Amino acid sequence: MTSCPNDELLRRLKAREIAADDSVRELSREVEAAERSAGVQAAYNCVRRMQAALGFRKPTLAIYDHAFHMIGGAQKYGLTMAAALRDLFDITILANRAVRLDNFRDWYGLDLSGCEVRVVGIPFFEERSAFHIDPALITRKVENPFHCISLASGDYDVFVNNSMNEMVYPLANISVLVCHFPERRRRSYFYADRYTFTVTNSLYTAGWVEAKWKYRPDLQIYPPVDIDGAKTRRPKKNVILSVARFEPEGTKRQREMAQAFLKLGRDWPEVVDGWKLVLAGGSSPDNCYLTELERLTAGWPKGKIEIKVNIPLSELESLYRESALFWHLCGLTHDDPSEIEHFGMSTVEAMQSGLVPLVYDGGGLREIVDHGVNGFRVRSTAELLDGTIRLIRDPGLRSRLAGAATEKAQLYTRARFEERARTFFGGLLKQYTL
Amino acid sequence: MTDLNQEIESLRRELEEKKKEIRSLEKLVRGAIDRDFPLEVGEFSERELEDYFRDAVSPLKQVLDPRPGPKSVRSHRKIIGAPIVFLKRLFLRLSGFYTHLLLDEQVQFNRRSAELTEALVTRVRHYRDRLEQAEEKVAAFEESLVILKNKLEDLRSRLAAETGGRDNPSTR
Repeated sequence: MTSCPNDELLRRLKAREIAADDSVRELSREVEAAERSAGVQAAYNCVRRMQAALGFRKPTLAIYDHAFHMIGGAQKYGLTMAAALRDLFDITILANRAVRLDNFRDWYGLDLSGCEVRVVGIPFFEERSAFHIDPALITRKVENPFHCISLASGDYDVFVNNSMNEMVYPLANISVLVCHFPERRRRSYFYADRYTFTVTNSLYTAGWVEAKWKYRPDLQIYPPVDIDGAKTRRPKKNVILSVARFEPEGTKRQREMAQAFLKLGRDWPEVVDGWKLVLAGGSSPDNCYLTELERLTAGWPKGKIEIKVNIPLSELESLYRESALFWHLCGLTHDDPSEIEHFGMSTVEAMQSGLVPLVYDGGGLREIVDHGVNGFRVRSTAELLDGTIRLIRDPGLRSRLAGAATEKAQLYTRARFEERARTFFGGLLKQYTL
Repeated sequence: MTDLNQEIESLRRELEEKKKEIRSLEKLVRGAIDRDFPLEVGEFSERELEDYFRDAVSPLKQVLDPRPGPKSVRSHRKIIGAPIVFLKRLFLRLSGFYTHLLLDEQVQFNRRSAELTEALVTRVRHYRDRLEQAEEKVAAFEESLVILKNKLEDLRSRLAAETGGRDNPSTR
């Protein structure tokens, strides 16, 4: 955090212990010194802090994400944070593509009225007509195209970088990097450690920030998860549900889950009699992986495995309400930490809806599911089948674990998230304005 | 306080104008912002290693031969460029026999090193593929075992229920 103007001077000004003429003189001296030693931006930040601290205007906060124009869990995280901080700051949503506040209401049910939207286009990506802005394309061979965002960051008291993009250099008085996962290692244009604070979405992510970026993050706030379906309970049906995007690379492991279920059906049909597996998730058009998955399940009795692609939220909520077990194997046989679930929002949604989770024993899922207490963590498809058979054959165990899962999932509600965010930013603001 | 407010606001505007004129981040913060980082190859994951192999192996072949040829000498200077280039090329031709004699072995070593690296990478890829296939087979066996184990437990408990526990091996 900036040391200009010095806290003592700021305190005396606030207490009106200095005469008006002297105040102006002293402040000008401070600003000039800041400019001489650290440049124009430091001087500008000094003036901005005075204005906010002396109550001449409300502090401002800009939150940036290069993917605000698309629906995503990370974007929901940042915008929920912005919604929670509206009374503390004048908030600007900094995006690279045109987006409206109405979009956020439709996509995430968030009320962001009163916030401003500022769109800063990035010529590098606009020239390529790229819908998806991919920082991975940027190497030292090209000029850093994100400098325009860095420049914009210097117009606010607080700058929050919510994107997985460490190539934005923060210029604001207080800067916060919200890291959902450190995708890249330190290389050209790495500025993550230049932020005043780093916040992570899970302990798993925090560990990898330390391993890849060589510094310890300051705070960890779990993402907000509130599935509407959880409020109205219905009797559970014999349905095993999996909710994950159908990634063309197959990283969510739907093929392995389908194969395991089919094997169980083939080798011991009585045990899964009356049970079905539902694989739900989003997909882009012309997805080869999805086509292969449909071919794999086509030869089996109709309804035994259902694939539901891009279904509306209401249908997904209904699936959560009705299903009994939840499978999630993202991370299985992967050694790359970025391909393992960084947190696991769909697992929490399932737990809030009273499903018993059987999830891969790795990544952020380890923080959510306690093995044998509120679900099972598995290292292979064999362990997945073992746990599933136990739960199918023991309704008492199923009911006990489901109850514990619902209870554990309360740790990740939106109310908790907002409370953590407000405490953190409220504390920063107190220090900033004295 | 109103005067102070106005004074500060005018100061802010003045600095904002200055900021607009300076578009370079380095100048704005009066200091360098970019740094170099070592490549932490030892910490790479499988996927990162694969990307590294792809980016590192093929360029090796492009730098096998460090021997300078006459065409590598060029100049952008308008008037004196041509005579300088002529003299340098002449020198290269005259000394070529000796430099090539010295560098021939180096070129040969470079070529063999590049070939060896490529061969090792190919072998690693073969092993990785075979390992993946073996893992899939093991996973299938494990699944079968788990199903058999549960079937057996099921039979045991049914048998115990039918015989009232008398024939249950675990109670003997």
